[in-house]
Formats: sequence, C-alpha cells, structure tokens
Amino acid sequence: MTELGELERHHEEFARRNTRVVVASLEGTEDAKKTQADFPHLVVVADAQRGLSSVADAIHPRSGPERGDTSAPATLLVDRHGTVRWEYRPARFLTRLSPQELLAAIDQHVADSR
Amino acid sequence: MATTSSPAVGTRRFPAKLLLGLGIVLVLLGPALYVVQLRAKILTVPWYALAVGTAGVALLLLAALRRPSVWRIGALAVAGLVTGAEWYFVLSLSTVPAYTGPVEAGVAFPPFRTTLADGSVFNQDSMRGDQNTALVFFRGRW
Repeated sequence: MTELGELERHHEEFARRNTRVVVASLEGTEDAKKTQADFPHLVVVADAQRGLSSVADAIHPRSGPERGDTSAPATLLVDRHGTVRWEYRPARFLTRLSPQELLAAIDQHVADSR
Repeated sequence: MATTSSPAVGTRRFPAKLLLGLGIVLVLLGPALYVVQLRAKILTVPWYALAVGTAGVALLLLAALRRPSVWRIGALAVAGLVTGAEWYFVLSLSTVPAYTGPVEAGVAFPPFRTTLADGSVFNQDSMRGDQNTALVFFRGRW
C-alpha cells in the first residue's frame, strides 16, 4: 500500500500530464471499495475474476496469503487511443516504480501527456 | 639477548572478540537499514543489506576460526541461517514469473473485461478517451 499512497500523493502531477492512475489487484469488490476510499484520486479495479490480470499476465501464483495467487507488480502506460506505450515489469516484487520514475516515463513515452 | 613472544600482528589488531561484535552488528544492520529504507518509501531490492549481512557472517566465521567457542560457533550458525534466509527470500521467493503475455508496446491493449470498485464495467474501451492511463498492478491490501 506504500506504492498507492505515493501515487495518491502525486495525483496532481499525473493530472497535469492528462493521465489517470488505474490500480488493479486480484481482490474483490469489498476490498477494492476500501482501497478506493483510502486513495480517492486513483481508479481502483476489483479484478477478482482476473479478466484484466490474465490478459496483462500480471499474476504471481502462490505468492499471497495462504499460498493464494496475487498480482505481480507491473506498470503499463496506455495512451488515450488504447495503445500500450510502455511497460515496466520488475524481476522481483520488492521493486516498484517510484512516482517520479512513472512521471518521467509518461513524459518520455506518451507523446500527448501534457 | 632475551626475546619475548607476541601475538601475530593480525590477531592483535583484530581480536576474536572484536570480530564477533562487529559481525553481529553487521548481521543486524542489514535488516535495520531495510526498515529505514521502507520508512523512506523507497521500494527497491536491498542488495546492500545482503552484502552487509554476508560480511557480518564472514567476520563471525573468522572469529570462530581464530578462537573457537560455543558462543562464537552458535552466533555464526544463527547469523548464517538468518543471512541465508534473506538471500533465499530475495533470490527465490520474491522473484516474479517471466512475462509471457500478449501486451506489447506499440500495440493496442488486448480485449478484457473487469469491474471497478463501484461495480461498473472496465474494459479496453475504458482506456480510450481524453486521458492516458497508467495501469498499476499492486499486490493487495494485505
């Protein structure tokens, strides 16, 4: 949740780049509602059915509580035409992008970001 | 002319007790530094913690070789287990499977259907419009 807190804290900088931050996990609607309340400037996806995570191949098997599956950390930049512009997939879940790194990637890879 | 024996220079400079103390401090320092890193909200692999812990184990090994005792060998065993577990966690348990999916830079996001927290539909068309999207997968609330 540290990651989401940092993204929320920088929401104005994402807005200035005409970019919304959509965050997704394999949790259900109830957990997603709590996350949405905690981070009101992010768009929270409840992907318990894995419709999005399967397509994005962002599932880390047996790495969650009680050996359940969980999301593999990944960040994808999609432009307003629906085209993937950039993806970041760390080799280990200990590593995440900082907001500054994500903002720099937006500036670099999404042409109409401003 | 009378001569006196003295300990080897290396032993005098680094007595086993000092090596033991330094080793224990280094083994404990790695996790402590990682806690500080997390509090600073820096989410990267703490390679330095592994290096520091390994150096601590090396010093404990040296201390045990120089003056073997139950305490030194016990400290070496515990530190070795702790540092070994740290390496195992970072090198094995935290490793994410290699990506094999269809998402690719320069290509339209593949069709999908899921829901937002409010229950409304979110699909590939939801990412077309006025805004760009930064899609971030996170591990969850736990």
